[in-house]
Amino acid sequence: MMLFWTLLFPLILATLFNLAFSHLLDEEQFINAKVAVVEINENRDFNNVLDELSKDSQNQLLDIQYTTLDKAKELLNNDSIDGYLVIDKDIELTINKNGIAQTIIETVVDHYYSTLNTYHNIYELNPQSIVNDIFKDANRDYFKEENVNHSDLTVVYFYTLIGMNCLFGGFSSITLSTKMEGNLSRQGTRIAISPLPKYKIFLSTSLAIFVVHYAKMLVLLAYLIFGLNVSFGHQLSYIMLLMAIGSIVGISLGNCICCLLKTSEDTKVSVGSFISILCSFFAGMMIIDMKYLVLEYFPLAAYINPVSLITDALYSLYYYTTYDRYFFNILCLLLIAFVLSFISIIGMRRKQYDSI
Amino acid sequence: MIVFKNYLRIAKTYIHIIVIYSVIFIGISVIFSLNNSQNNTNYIKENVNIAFIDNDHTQFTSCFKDYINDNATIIDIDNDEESLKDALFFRKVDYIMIIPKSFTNDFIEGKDVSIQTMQVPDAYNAIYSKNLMNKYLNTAHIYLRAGIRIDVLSQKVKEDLSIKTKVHMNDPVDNTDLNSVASFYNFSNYALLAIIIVVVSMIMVSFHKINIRKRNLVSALNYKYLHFQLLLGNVVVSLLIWFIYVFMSFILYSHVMFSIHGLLYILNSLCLLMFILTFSFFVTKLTDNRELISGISNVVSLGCSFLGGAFVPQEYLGHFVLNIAHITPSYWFIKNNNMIASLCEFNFDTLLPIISCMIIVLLFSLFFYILSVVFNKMRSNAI
Amino acid sequence: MNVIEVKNLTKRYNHLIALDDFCLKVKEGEILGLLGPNGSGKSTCINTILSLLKYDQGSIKIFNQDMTPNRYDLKANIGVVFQEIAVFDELTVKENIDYFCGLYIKDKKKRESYVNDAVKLVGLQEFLKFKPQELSGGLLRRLNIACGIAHKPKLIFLDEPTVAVDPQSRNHILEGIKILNEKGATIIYTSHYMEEVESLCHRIVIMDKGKVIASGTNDELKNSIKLSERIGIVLDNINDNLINYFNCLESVIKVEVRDNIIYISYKSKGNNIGQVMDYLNQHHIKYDRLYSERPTLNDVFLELTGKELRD
Repeated sequence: MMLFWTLLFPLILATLFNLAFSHLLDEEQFINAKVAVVEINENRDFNNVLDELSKDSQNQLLDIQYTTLDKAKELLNNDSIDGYLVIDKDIELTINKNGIAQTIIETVVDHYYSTLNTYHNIYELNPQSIVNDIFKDANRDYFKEENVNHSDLTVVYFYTLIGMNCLFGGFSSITLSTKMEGNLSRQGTRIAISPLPKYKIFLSTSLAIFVVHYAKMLVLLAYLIFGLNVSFGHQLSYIMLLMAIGSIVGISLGNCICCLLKTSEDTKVSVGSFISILCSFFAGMMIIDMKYLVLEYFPLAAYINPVSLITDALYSLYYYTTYDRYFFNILCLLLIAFVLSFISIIGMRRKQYDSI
Repeated sequence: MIVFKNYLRIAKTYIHIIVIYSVIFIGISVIFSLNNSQNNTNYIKENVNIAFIDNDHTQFTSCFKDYINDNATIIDIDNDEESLKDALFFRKVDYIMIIPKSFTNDFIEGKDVSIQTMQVPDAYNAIYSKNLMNKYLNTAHIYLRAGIRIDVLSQKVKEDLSIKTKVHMNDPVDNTDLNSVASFYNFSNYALLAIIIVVVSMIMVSFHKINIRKRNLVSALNYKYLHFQLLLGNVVVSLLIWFIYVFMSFILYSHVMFSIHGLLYILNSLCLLMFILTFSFFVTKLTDNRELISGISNVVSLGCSFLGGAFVPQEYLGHFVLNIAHITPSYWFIKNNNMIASLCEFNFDTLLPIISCMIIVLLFSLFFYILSVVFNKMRSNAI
Repeated sequence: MNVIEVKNLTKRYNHLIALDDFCLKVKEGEILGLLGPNGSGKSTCINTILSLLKYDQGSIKIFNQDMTPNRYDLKANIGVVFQEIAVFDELTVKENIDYFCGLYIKDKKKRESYVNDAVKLVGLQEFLKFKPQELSGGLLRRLNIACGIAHKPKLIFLDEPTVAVDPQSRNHILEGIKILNEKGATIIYTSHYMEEVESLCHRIVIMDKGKVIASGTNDELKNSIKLSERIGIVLDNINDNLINYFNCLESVIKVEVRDNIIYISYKSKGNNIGQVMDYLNQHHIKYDRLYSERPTLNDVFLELTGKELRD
């Protein structure tokens, strides 16, 4: 039952991430800016522009209402509109704050003015050419995005999620390690007096936890690929390798916490979960810039943070065609796993306790 | 009030965890809000770092580069694949533009040209500058079709695009700090949810052990009174954590907090606290399992925070997401914080939407309180 | 007065009948022993009487009043010591007793003296500042008991309080229970350990499969069965002749051999042991030991149900 729930949580998080991030860069999904227009002098050209942009279509940018100046001021104060335009000799915009909506309105007016100016300039320089449809097709996008390494743009948002989940797997190891410690549980005491060498028990338990946890990670990966249609490109096998090593790190971390902390199981799980969140934060889960700040000012911290190493490896798969950086990160992770496991085994070697 | 006294006694034994969690989360909140004060939600041009690789080297492209320089920051990078990828990887640039050879000629002849770009995935502030650059090229294209020569039009295009609309800012109040405070409190959605659920559940788990529960049930203490005392204990501990958070905001942004805005922020976060309280109480009625509680705490705190716009501002989230986010109290809480940040006048009309959002959050907490009472009854009947 | 009066109590868990038309009367001031094998319904019976469990049929009266979960006035005079240890791991011994006493006694001064009395009763004066993890099994049981009786209730339920307890603690506990009873408390005592029940309880009720099989004082129960005496002979040589001889005796119910001991069960009292000794001496049969014992409650149970009490 527990297995089911701990499997479900990363899937739920993945779905939520997907919802939050998947259309982040799509301009179409920005909400229309609400504008009030106060006409003191008529400006038919500009009215046409506004009408065009407030038509109910794919390209709709604005929601327009024509009102008086006083009403417009009131609407702005109530925050019912994002700004109001006063059309007199010039067009002036009044806003409350600087946000996307306000900038969109500003851009519309700027665009109008610049196009008008262009028209005047051309009229001065070469009046005959205005007859042709030179203003047609004036909205081309000259930029072509090269999809680096054929991966989906959105995969990036899931990197920290994957990293975080590798660490969270450590917690089953806390529960199991508690059962193995002589002074923490009766099963542990039994194991402590048995003739089996400690490291064998340690390795076999860790292996069992690893198999279960890695299976959960694979389910998460499958869900990301098939359920949420996130494309990881042709580097799937590298990602799976990385996940395996990440899981090992998570489990070793759990074992280490278990050996070093002498408190109840509940407290240990809290500490473990807390360390994962902290590592995720410094790897840039909530503020992406955090990752780069750490790299710049505390580079050592970036190289001992497992989540950071995992996201780094994933990013390098995304950007680079060579695997130097990827393998470097893998090596760091293995080193961390080794050190943590070593500490755990040393910690467990004690065969006599102060009190049981 | 023996149960309440006991609750606090047990809370004291967990004080070290409470302190560590609070310190670290509040520290992160501070970093978050300071970061956001420079990097605010302005859809603004100056923050974009661009690498401009010119393989054509004509007057036209160099005028174009000048224009870009006025509206973004150009970073010099070597034109080899390794350096380019490094620049993206380490975020020295937000995106890279590569002008292909003979771009100018193709452009003049009206061929289908395009500039290759490579960008970091979440450079949403780059959209604006991209629009500007497209505008430059499109305007240049119009001049070309009008028969204007290429060495003349650059100047004209620049002139056209330099016309700026006159914009009046309604309120001379410095918006930046208000936004920072809003960010701080928006992040608190995550921090408070994460800390309080964990702390409260740690203490409540002791009370929910079946044997202790049996003893409590056979005692002479009225069951409802016992329930009330436990809730009171939760309230005290949560209020303490919340208070540290608010205190921090006073230290960082005292001139904002000592104002009506500050009062509204505090009231708003109190409403959220109510919700967090009843929700954590409810979670402890659901299960005693530590791992499960940890998982629920993570999913709820992260999920609500992402969907509600605590990390990525609400302005950037799409319609669809925001609609879903409506079912989380975080959405209303964060919306309220953002509205408070843009308040200039304080009258019934302007305050009404803010109060409505607060009431909605309170309704959520009422809902979870009722749920926890129901679950409690069910659980006690199952002994 | 009957402190507890249970009539026709029936409780089912789906298809399993936990209590089957169960009836019980407990007089004021007595120590009642509730005996039965695992799964006989002892804990269910107690939990139901305490209104922790719902029941399907029957009536429960405590202090002559109907018992329901909301009768806090009745609960104020009841103390329960559950089989499982129910204390807070985060609190010290004194804080634990203070908490559980505080659920009944609001007056701080009164509670302080009650807590001290409870500590003295169970003998935990030296361990006041210890946490439960630091106590041995026996001391933990003592703490468990102190928490249940600190408020000096008139009716006390003790559910297997001496399980896994060292002999010193056990004696302490039994002595403490006797003192509580002398001070006027009515006690319901469930246990596996027949010897305790025999020595402690005024009256004994034997349960099996949710029903009352037998009830009465120690002597009454033992007199109610056929078996009245059992003689055991420890011998090197046990031959069939010996067994046959004893089998043919008139008041012998049965003869059993286990290891190298012959057990002869008699149905009537008399000079049985004398007869056996005479026979052995007459036939020059050498024996190691010869002893006689009265029937135990296990025998009572065995005869009534065909099963052992301790399985």
